Amino acid sequence: MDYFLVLFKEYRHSIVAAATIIISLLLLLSVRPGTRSPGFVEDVALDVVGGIQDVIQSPVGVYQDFSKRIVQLQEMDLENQRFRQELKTLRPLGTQVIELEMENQRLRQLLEMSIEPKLRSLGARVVGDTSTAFANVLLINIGRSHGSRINASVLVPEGVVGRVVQAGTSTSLVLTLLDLNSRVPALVQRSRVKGIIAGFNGQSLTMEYVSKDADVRVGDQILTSGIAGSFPKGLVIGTIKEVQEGDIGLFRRLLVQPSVDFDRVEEVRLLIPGQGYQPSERSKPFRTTKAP
Amino acid sequence: MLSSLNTLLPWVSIFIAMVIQETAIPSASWDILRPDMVIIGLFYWRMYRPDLCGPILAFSTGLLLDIISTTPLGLNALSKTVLVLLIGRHGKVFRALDFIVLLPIIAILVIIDETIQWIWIVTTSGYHFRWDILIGRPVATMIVMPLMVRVLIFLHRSWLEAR
Repeated sequence: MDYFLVLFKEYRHSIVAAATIIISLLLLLSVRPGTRSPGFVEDVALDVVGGIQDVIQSPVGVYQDFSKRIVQLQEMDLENQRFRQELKTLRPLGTQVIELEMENQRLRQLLEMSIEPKLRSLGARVVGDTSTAFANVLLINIGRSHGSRINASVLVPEGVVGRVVQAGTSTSLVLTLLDLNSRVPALVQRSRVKGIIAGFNGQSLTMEYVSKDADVRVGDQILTSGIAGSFPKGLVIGTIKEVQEGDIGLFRRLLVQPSVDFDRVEEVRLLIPGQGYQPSERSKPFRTTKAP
Repeated sequence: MLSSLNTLLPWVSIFIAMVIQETAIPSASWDILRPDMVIIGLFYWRMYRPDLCGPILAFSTGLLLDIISTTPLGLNALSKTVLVLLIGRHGKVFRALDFIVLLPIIAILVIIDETIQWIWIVTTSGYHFRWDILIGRPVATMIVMPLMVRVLIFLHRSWLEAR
C-alpha cells in the first residue's frame, strides 16, 4: 500500500493529467451530443453562470439600451428628413389632385346640362383670354375641324358666356356678353318684357330698349329670347340688379348682373344648330344645374 | 485561511473570464471576433503559477464550458487539459520570452484548441462549423490578451504575491 502511495506522490501530476484526459474521452464517447438531458449539476452551473451574467451584463444592458436609443434617434432623424422630402414632392401633387377634382366637377356639370335635341353640343376648354381694356374675348381649343362655327352659342352650366365670332381650324374666338360689341336679344322671365342685352366692357350688362312702363323689378331673371339671333330661347343671362330711370326718352336702362363669373370660365360647351333649327323653338328655361 | 482562499484566485479569475467570454461578449456583433479568454487565463496561470493551475482546473473549466455552450460533454475539458499540459511542458521557455512573442503563441494555442475540437466535431457530426469564427477567434484572443494579462498581473501581485 505504501508503495502505491509513494508511486502516486511521485507521479501525481502525470496520473492526474492522464485521469482527466481519460475522463474527458469517456464523457465524449459515452454522452451522445444532443441526447443528454440537463441534470442537477448542469442546472446549478447554468444558474450560477446566469447570475453572474446578470451582474456583468447590467452595465452592458444599460449601454446597449443607450446605444439602441441613439440608433433610434438617428433613424428617426433620417426618417424625418425622408418624410420632409416626400412632403415636398407630394405637396404639388395634392394641389394637382384638387385641381383635377374641381375640373372633373365642372365637366360633370357641363355634361349634365340639358340640351335642345336639335342642337349639337361640343365641349371645349378655354385656352386663352385675349381680352384687353376694349374687348372681352376668350380663346377656346376647338375650331372648324371639330365642328365649331361662327355664331355658335357658348355656355357654362351657370348660363350664357357668349358666342363664337371667329372659327379657326383648331381654335375659336368667343365674344363674351361683357364685350362692348355684344348684343343679345333677351326677355325678362317673369313679365316677358323684351330688350337687348349689351356689354360695356365692365363686370355687368345692360338691358336696352325696355320701355318706361314695362313691368320690371330688381331680381327678375333675364333669359335669351331666341329672336333674330344665334342663341336658343331660354338660356340664362343674369338677373336685374338695378333699374335706371332716365328723364329723357322712351326707354329705361336695366343693369343686369350676369349669372356667369367670366373670370372663372375654364370649360365651355358650344351649341351648334342643326338643320332646320329655329332659335325661338326652345320654350323651357335652359338652366338645369345650380352654380357651385 | 485567507492565504488558502487566495490560492483560488486562478479558479475565480478563469471562471469570471469564462462567464464574460460565453455570456457577455457573444452578441451578434462580436460573433466573429470573440476572444478565448479562458485560454489566456489558463496560459497565464499555468506559466506563472503552475502549482495553482493544473489539469484539474483546466478539466473543470472545460467541462463547465461544455455545459454552458452545449458542446459535446468533455470536448472542451479534453482540449483545455491538453493545452494546460502543453503549456506546462514549455512553461519555462514561454516565461523567458518577450511578451510580444507570446501573442502569436497564444494564437497558436487557440488554434490547437480549435483543431482538437474541430477534429472531434468533424468525425462525429460532420462539417457543421463556421470558418469565420474559427479564424476570428485567434485574432481576437491576440487583441484582448495584453489587456487581460495586465488585469491578471494586477490580481496576481495584489492578491497572491503581496501576502
